Amino acid sequence: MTADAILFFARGTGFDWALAIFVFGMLLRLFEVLSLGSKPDLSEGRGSGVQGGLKTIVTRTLPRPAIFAREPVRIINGYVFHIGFLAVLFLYEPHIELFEAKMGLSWPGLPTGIINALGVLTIFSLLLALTLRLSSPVLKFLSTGSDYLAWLVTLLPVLTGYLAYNHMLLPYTAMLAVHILSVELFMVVAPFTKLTHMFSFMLARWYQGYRAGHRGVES
Amino acid sequence: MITIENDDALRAALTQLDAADQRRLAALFVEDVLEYTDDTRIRHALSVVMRPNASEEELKAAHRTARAAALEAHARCGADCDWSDQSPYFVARAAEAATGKNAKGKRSALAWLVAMQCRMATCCEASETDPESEDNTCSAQRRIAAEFINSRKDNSNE
Amino acid sequence: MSSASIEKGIRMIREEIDAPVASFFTSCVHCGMCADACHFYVQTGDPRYTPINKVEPMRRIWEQEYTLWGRIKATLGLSRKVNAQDFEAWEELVYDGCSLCGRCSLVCPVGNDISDMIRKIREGFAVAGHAPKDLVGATRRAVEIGSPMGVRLPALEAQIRHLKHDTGLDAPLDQAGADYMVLLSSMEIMNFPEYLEAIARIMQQAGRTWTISSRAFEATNSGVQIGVSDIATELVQRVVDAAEELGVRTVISPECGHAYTAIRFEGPNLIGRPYNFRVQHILEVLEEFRQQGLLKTEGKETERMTFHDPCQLVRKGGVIQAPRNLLGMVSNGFVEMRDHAEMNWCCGGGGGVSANERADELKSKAFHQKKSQLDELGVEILVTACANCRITLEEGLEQNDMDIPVVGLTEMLAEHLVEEPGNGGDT
Repeated sequence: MTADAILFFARGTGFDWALAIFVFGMLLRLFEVLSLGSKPDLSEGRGSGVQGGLKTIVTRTLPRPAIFAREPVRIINGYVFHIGFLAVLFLYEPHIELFEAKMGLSWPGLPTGIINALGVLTIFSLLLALTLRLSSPVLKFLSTGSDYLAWLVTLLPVLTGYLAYNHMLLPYTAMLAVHILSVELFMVVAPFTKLTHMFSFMLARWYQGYRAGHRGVES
Repeated sequence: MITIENDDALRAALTQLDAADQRRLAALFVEDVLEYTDDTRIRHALSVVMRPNASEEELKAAHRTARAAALEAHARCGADCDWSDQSPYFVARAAEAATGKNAKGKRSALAWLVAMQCRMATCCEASETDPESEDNTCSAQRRIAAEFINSRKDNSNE
Repeated sequence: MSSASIEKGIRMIREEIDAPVASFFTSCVHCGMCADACHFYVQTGDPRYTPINKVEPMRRIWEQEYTLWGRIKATLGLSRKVNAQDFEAWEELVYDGCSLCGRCSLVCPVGNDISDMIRKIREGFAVAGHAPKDLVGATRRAVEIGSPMGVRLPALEAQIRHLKHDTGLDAPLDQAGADYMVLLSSMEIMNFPEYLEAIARIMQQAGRTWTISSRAFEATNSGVQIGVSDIATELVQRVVDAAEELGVRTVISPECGHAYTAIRFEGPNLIGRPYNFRVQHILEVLEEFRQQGLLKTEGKETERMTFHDPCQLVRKGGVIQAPRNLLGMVSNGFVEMRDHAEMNWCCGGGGGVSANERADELKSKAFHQKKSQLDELGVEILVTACANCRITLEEGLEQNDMDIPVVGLTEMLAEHLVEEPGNGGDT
């Protein structure tokens, strides 16, 4: 198969299938959570569960100072690759054009030089994340094959995107095809790994926050 | 010569004593209820307090011993316990307080707090055996205190 | 344990899984931050005590039963069913190595309430016969005698007589229509009976009526600690029946942490309906009295002192400011630990740990976290508001040769009450 043919597939059928699996997979995971239901809290409340839930969705984004003091590098690094990944995904003009084509939405992007730098930063950040995971007794103990797979499918789009943009490793068409395929790999694998957290974190924070808000306790 | 007729008078009399006298009187209170415990460490700790020339180190050691005795005697969370077997714990608590520096966090005189722990020790015994023993402990404490204060007065007059 | 018990355990764990639990497992990214919040992990360095690891059997059951992908993996033999060895290996993590303190839940970046999951997984372990024998004994006594420590009414009556004898104050039993019905923990009755006198004196000054139920005075809920909801429900029901029969407005949970969250929050959900009365921790009541000007104290301690926040009262109970306001009435020397209030560290003895003799060594190790807090601060007095914390702290301090007295807050307040003339017993 020629690079052109692979690119054609990746941009067309491949993308559609991957997106369908991603959307269906994520919706299924969310359904699997929500369908279990939860019992109402009959205790006398002190406050609003709704306010607690919504507040916690936002405030859990920041670490408690006591915890930050124990793991500053790992925590900051987590922010770096999350923000970097999201910035490269959503603020790179060609990506925005893709969103526009698929969903009719568009927004301003960042200069490509900055995106390029963010891409490098994200790659190094992800490499550091892996190093930290392998060198921490707790993380090594907790980690499964799925954790490493999730890491790999997250790294590949950023790495291959960087290589494609900078015309490195393979001829551009081939590198672009690999990049888009890596994105499709991400989309297909995500619903089967902890990458589900990208949506479910809102539910988890909501549930704990709701109960805490109702009870008038910290969350 | 003073006599102490009731608890108000006892409390008032105790607050007049200095820290060292508080401890010695407290030790006498504990001695009065020593029959409720088999722990020989308590008697030894009290004897240190009673000695006029006991050093800081010796007092600290006595306090540590009494504290250890109290913790060993406590009713363990969730364990099968009996209120009437709690006397040794309260005697040890009393000894712990008597061998301490002062009653931290509390306004009451140290000797008063020790007296209360001793009464609680009697309360445990009283619940099963002799309902009047609590009265006896109270009047004994007033008598012991009066004798102690009077003897201090006599000593200082000589 | 028989395979039938293990099956019962697995079924029970399955029943405990709800949408929140599923959202927690779906969101966990294995970041390990929960370990950084856990005194058992921090002081042992053993990654098995990582909080989310303590519920790994529950996670496997959830994945295999409630996710399509998990079911496919199980069918293909790519995941292992939870078995007897897992129950055996995890029993210690679930009971000895967790005090249900909730610090992990507060720090998880995706919002997982890990502590509540551990509470839930205990239901499965208990029914599978994998609860520590000391907790089993305590629970049996709670059901049969009414107290996990075998405290019977005569013991309480003896203390009430003693109270009358020494102070002239009454602790009325079974008084219908009283403002407050006071619960007491067995630990308090046996080890810190000064608490009863403190309550009596404060209530007298505040001019409030109170009572104790002769048939439901126990505050401790062993059912919650061991994780047997049926028993937890029965113990709550006894209190509810007594309170509603007496028609009291408020039930007071004493200076015991787990008793508070059990009766205040779990209780209505266990019995399946809201109460017809309020539940307040004694510190909440005292804070109300303070705000209403009913609590008159005099004198302030000048020694440097700090407050150990009982986890169930402060972090999980939301009673954060009250102890601080109350301490402010009687102390000029209060200083906060660096990690304080909702972020304070557990004493290590809650959640059934102190009742479990097998966990003594682990509890001693975990105490070093509290020790480091105190070493950093340098105080002369440690104040707290939980009888179990008190003993755990005292034991830990003694083991580490630290001479810091531990004082109960209610008792301290009572010590500073303005004396009305003629108060105090007199025979």
